[in-house]
Amino acid sequence: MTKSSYNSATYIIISLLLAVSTMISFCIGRYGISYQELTEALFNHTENPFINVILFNVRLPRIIMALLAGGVLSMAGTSYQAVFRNPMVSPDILGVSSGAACGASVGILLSLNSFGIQIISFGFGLLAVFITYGISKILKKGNDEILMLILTGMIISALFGSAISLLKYVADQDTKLPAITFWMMGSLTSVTTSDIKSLLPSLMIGIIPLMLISWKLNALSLSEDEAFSLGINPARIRLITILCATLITASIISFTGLIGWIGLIIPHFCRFVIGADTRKLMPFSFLCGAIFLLWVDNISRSITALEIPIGIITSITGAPAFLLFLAKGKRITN
Amino acid sequence: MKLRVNNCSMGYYNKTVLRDVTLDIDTGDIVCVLGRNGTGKTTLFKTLLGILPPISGDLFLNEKSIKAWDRRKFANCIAYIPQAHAMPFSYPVIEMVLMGRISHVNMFSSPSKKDIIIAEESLEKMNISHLRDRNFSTLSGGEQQLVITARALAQKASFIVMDEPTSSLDFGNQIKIIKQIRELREHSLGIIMATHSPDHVFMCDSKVILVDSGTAVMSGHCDKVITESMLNRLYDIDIIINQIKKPDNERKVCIPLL
Repeated sequence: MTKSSYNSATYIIISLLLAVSTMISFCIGRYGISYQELTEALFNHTENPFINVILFNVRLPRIIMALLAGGVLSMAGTSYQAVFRNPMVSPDILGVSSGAACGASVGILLSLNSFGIQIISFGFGLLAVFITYGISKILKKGNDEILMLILTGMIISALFGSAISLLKYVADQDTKLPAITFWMMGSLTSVTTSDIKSLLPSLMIGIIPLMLISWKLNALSLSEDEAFSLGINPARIRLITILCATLITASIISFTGLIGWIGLIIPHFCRFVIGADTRKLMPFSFLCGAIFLLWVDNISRSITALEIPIGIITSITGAPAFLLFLAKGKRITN
Repeated sequence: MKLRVNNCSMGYYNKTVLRDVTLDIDTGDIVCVLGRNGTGKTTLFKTLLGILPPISGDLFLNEKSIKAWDRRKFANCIAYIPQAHAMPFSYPVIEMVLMGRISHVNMFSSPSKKDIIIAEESLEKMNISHLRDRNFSTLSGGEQQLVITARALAQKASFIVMDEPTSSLDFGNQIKIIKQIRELREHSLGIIMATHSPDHVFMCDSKVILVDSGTAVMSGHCDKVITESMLNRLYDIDIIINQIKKPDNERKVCIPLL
């Protein structure tokens, strides 16, 4: 099989998988819906108002959010890995996640409504990146810029982490503390259609440039001098990519709470399947991440009567998967 | 095309590495850069590539000052082939070569059919079309060097700066690379190459830039410049230079004495 037909076959398989997973997800849940009931409700009109409410008001927004969140976080992970020339980095690396988490904690502490919490966590996420980027620019002088960025990111993450601890410490133990803790674990429970509508513009602003610039991200794997002598400005491409990837990461987690690991393991997995070319990797990791989070959410809402926060499931599945990739990685790439 | 360095000082923020550098390099030339480790070859290259602005003096490409050039366009006229190094991700060979087209494609676009054709032609020129779909990291060091050279061809630069292209290659691959470099001269490219082997300079039948004691000097053709006493001074070892005389293969060789 030639390379290009292998690639198209992979895309067809993954798209089918996505379609089937989505259909199954409509049926799964505490109120089971059969396949007949589903097709009837989707393509004709069902008389059963109960099924309508469950499908279109409860499950549909949730499924869309799972697909978007999984796809976006994986895409952001792919972008960060290309920018930092390192397959081991993820959206957490620049302090985006801990910044956004800190913002959400502040929002919860101030008793803001959910929209207010989203705005403030998004603002803090962006703020964290700007601080990281700014400090690393100042410290850079002659040193390795990327190493500086990663180190500064770790420091800023730790700072926001301790701020979160402080906020938890002063939070009301009966109301605020559980809310903060729950947000940290990630959940799609309360997603509504209007949430998704208000999320779409910022996702588009981030995703479209990332898709368009994806080919040029390949050249960032080269050394700085090499990339420059090809006639591009690596610093500018890096800045655009970081801004877009941060925008979409912060937008998503301000709605869903912290969801870890996806941005790390999905790009890894996709690179094994489809190769390192970022042009192909971007859309592919979006699709794979979407399917992954959809199933994580399906498990989360159906395995027990009480919902398990999805952040916990992504960690439980992500950590061993990542170890597996580490162990197999050498053999597969060679 | 003509690359002229006019009375330049080169170096970093507050540290001048090379002074009073004046060089003239034409397309169709091979120029080898000889010098001990740490004498400023890398500084010279970074300045030629437009990465490091000269501290004083000026660079001219086609009689136009580097200050008047867009710095990235300037860099794009001078391709860079670094020493072999590991890549964080492994791309197919064709993608590596396509990267040479990157500045010819708009900021938010992907390569067109034409770019792919140019990349394939570059592979052909280097006689490595069979490697097209292989993974770059699975290639031998010599093959990788050829792929990077194909990328420089796809870039359509007028000059190629090579930083010790033969280092870390086995003997056979070294000679293959040297042969390819000689052929590139026929494509009317200007080649500036750092090397630690005076034999390679004789093989390329090239001009010599000497980097020594804080300056770089265009010293002339290797037959006149590279002498036993000069090598003795440069590397602090005893060397004799012999002439091999075989039909079609008449050149000098260096033999270090132990």
